[in-house]
Amino acid sequence: MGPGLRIFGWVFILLLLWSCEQAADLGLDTPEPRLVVIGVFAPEEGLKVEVSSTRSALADATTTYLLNARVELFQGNALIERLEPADVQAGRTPFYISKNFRPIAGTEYVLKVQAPGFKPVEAQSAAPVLVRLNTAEAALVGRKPSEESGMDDCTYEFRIGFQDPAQQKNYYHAHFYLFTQPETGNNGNTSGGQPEVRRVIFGNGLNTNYQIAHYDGGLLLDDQPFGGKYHTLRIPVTLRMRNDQQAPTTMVAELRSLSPEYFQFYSAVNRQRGNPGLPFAEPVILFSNVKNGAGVFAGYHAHFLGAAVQY
Amino acid sequence: MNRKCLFFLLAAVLPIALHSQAILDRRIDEVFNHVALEAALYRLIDKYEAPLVFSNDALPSKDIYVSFRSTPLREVLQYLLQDTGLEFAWVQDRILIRRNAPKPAPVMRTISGYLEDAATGERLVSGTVWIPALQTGTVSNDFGFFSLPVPPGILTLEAAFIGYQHQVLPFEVRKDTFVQIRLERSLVLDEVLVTDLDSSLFSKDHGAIYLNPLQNAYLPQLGGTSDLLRTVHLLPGVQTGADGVGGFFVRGGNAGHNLVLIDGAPVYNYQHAGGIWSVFNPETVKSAKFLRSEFPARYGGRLSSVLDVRNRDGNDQALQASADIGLSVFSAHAEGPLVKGKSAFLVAYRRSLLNWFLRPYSRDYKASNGETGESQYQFYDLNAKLRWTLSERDQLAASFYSGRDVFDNTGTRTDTFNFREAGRQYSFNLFQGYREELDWRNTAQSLRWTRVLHPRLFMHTLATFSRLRVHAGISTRDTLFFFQPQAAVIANWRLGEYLSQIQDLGFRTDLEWSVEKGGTLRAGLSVNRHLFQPGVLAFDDEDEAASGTAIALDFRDFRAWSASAFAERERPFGRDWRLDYGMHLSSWQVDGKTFGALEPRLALYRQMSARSQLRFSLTRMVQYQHLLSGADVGLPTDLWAPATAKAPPASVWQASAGMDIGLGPRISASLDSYYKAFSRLAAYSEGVSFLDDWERNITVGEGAAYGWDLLLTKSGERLSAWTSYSLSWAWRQFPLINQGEAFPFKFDRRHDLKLAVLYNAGKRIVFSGTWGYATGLAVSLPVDAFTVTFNGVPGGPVTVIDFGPKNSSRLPAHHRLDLGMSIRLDPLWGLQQSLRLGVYNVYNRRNPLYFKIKSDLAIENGRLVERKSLVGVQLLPVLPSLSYALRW
Repeated sequence: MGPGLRIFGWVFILLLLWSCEQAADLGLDTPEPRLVVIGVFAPEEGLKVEVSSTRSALADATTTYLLNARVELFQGNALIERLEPADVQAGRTPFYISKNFRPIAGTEYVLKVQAPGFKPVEAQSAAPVLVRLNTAEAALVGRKPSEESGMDDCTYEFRIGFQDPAQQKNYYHAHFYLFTQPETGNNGNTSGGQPEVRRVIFGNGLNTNYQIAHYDGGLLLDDQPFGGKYHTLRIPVTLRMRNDQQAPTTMVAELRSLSPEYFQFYSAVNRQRGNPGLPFAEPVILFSNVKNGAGVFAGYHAHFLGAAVQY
Repeated sequence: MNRKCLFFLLAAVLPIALHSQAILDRRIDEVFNHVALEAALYRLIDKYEAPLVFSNDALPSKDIYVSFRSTPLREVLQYLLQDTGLEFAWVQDRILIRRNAPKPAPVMRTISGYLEDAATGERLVSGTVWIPALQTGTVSNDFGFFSLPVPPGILTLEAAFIGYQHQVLPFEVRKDTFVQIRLERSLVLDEVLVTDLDSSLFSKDHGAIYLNPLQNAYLPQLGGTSDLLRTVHLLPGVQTGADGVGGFFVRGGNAGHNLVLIDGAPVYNYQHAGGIWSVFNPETVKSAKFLRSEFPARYGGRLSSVLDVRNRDGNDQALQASADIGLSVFSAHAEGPLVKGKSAFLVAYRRSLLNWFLRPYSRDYKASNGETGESQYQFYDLNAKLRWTLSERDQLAASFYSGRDVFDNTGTRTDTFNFREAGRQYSFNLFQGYREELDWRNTAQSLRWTRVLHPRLFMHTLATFSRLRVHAGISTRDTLFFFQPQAAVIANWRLGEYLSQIQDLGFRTDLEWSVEKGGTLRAGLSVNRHLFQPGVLAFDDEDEAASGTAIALDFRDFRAWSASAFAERERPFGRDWRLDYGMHLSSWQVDGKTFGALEPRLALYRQMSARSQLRFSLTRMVQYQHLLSGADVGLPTDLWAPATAKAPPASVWQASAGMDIGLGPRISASLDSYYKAFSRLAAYSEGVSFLDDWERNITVGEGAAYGWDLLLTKSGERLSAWTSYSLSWAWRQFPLINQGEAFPFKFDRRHDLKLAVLYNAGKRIVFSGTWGYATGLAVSLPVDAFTVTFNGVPGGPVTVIDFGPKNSSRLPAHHRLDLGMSIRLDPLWGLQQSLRLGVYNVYNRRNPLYFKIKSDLAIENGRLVERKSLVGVQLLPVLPSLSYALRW
């Protein structure tokens, strides 16, 4: 290769490497901060609403929670209750809470929030009719010693069964909790502690179009594959247990029947969080039913059923 | 009849015949200027004693404006009586003008044969065969064959092909005639440099666009190598990502909606380096046909376009070789006869040279960023062809293509952080390591047999094999070594191994029947066996890694059969009309389920003048393979998946109308409008990557595209130029993307303008330039962010980013200027040599490939903070290019 060609080559590569990344100047307008409202409710529970504001996607992750907002709940045009800021411990997320409100399934509620410096927002939702769990089971299907001394890896299949209501679209959030009682002493008395509670958490690898792992536990389900039929959800779970385990453990299943807003918002949030972060990945678009703002106001209806865990 | 009788008969008739001959040969010098036909005939009687007999009532009213100079009376009468329904005949010493007597239709004969390059024996695709006296002609097919029904007699046939000398051949046609017409090259002063630009980069034939490989070589080059696909990018209605990355997108279609063929075999990944170069070696390409709307029924299987590339068959007359070295690519080729005039071979090889520079520079670049490691990338491709002429009417050809790309990127980095927070001192080392491997291999093979079964019947039989293998390996490892406040180690790693394959084995046979002047009937059958093997071999992510388990997924294979049949008719009618109609029947069998589709094709043409044409078409195309892209830009890891019950075959209806107009002797314009309605498009659901099981993570939706395409061309001896402009819209709607709402397709570019110029500055130098401007891609950029905590479920708050509706933002407009220059050097030791210089992206436009949010950790005021920025990732800045070619 002659010197001229070599120089061309160096220049070529120098420029190639120089090209990689550059801070963007897209001329995009910085959007005005919007109110963010996160509020979910269920019959027999009150309503808690977090009110914060949006921030730049490039800013540090400090969230501004608003405690001077006017948070009101309506049924139609009738004011049901004005929510007040709750007393929370330092470091905890501040929120507004209802004192008297007990939602009724199937009733549409409207949440209106105003705060100085922001456009007022409103959202509406209803808690769906309860879908009851018919069966709950924690069946031991395999057991083998683990690499950890004195411990076994126990494979279970957690099963819950329920009748999906026909002729309507339904969404669910299935949770599994394990309650393990403290060990009893030789005299038969318990050690006196609180039961240990563990949640079953699923990885994003289980995600499909109609099943999304919730980052805080459980699975979000769309009834598309089993719409209108009796459905048994089977979850393989591996638990590491002491091989002389005596303390009784109970699996408690929670089945939340969801409003569409609940499902769409949290499935998008969880998909975005579970996005593998590959450099070219398409972003996940969020859902919001909060007009002029962001977040969600959504109802659900929960039913619980427990079953003993075999050893 | 005995010989005496014959003599007396001849003796009686011959004087009469000679007498009539003499009168009809009488020379006429006359000017008719606004003269009625009757008056013109009387003038011939009066002035030239023409013994004309006619009935005044039978003469139509017709004014004559013509001058004759020493023209035989016969031709004068032929001219005056044309289009009158009258004829003349010699009857009893008189020339009787009478109504045309019905004549029996002449028994038609057929001139058929091949159009070939005289120097190499290559058969020429889409060459013109024309008989001026009959005002009829035809075009050679994809294999150089032509067939033309003609009446018996003496005819003059003209053959022409771009870049070749026009040839005139006199024929006496008494019976069906088979000819091999060998054309001499005219535009090539030597084998390296074309110095006459009197031909266009594109030529059009009833909606098909033929790319000119000779002209293509003179366009500005990237890294010193020309590329056919870059010429495709210049066409209206064709779009691509920055620097060609991601493939090409035709009239709102996806990259996977293009049927790309090499010698009839489909190519599933037609790109090197993600699209910067294509798999087409410019040394081997003989012809390239591009279709985007008026699809003949013989094509099927894709929704948006067909790029049908035929490689050269090899020189059967003489040995020929070349070598070409540029900054980025080395190529060499050889071809020659095995048996002179009977069989030939062709071998061509290309290899990238980027590693010469990339490896040392990537090491230095990473070192400057505190990393150790290097990047490597290279590709090669090999084309080979053998052909045998078994007989005058039979030819066998075997074509082989294989190409491979290999990318490897490794790096490690160690950072030390010390900071105080809440009165405590924190110290830790962060070790980050990664390795990314990606390689893909393409194979396309075909065995072709062509046979002229009858002067009007041509058979083409093809066996094909195609395969695409993609392998990706990913490993990343982040380890935190804490020293203070207490020693600890936190390690996360991610390992992945991914392999996918698609493989086709096919057989097809087509028949082509020349029914009448300019009219053809084609029919054919094909059957294909398909194998799809998408799979993640093993994948660990940080969650599983923490508990020491790994997911080992092995997605199932699919075996599918497809079969199709077609019939199509090109039928001229009236003086200026042609109707092309046909039906493509297709079927697909997978998982015990069979899909079938009728795909009607209809195109109507009206020839307004020699260079002006109107076109209308309505077509339906069905595609049984989906290209699923888990990325914002097209990557080799995009997965070819079969149509199944969960992802039914996609289809599109396209209606288009257009016109070609000759604006001047060498200037023409083409304007087309179209509307496309896509159904059952498949895509990954939102938030899914290629590592997920595609069957459980796809969503099926719809799309629409519409717009206008304009193409202006000018050809000339010195200057050739082309301009294309598209005004278009493209939409998509999927239930599981963008919350089910319709959104703009990424390539929904409102404006797309392209210019290309070639200027011949003399016998040695050709300058070239291209410039393109396009509306920025539709993308989803972050609008803002907020925090989500969960009510009733304990857990930490998470930050989510709101991108607004999908693709509601626009990247900056894309534009780029490329310049090139080709110089013919004096021969070296008898070898022809040339030099090509170029500058890519002359004014260094930073066209972003994509945008991302980049996070960096930094110590700010003694605190560890995360800094985020939106960065555009650009690929190619201003780049000089240089290549040197030798040919012998």
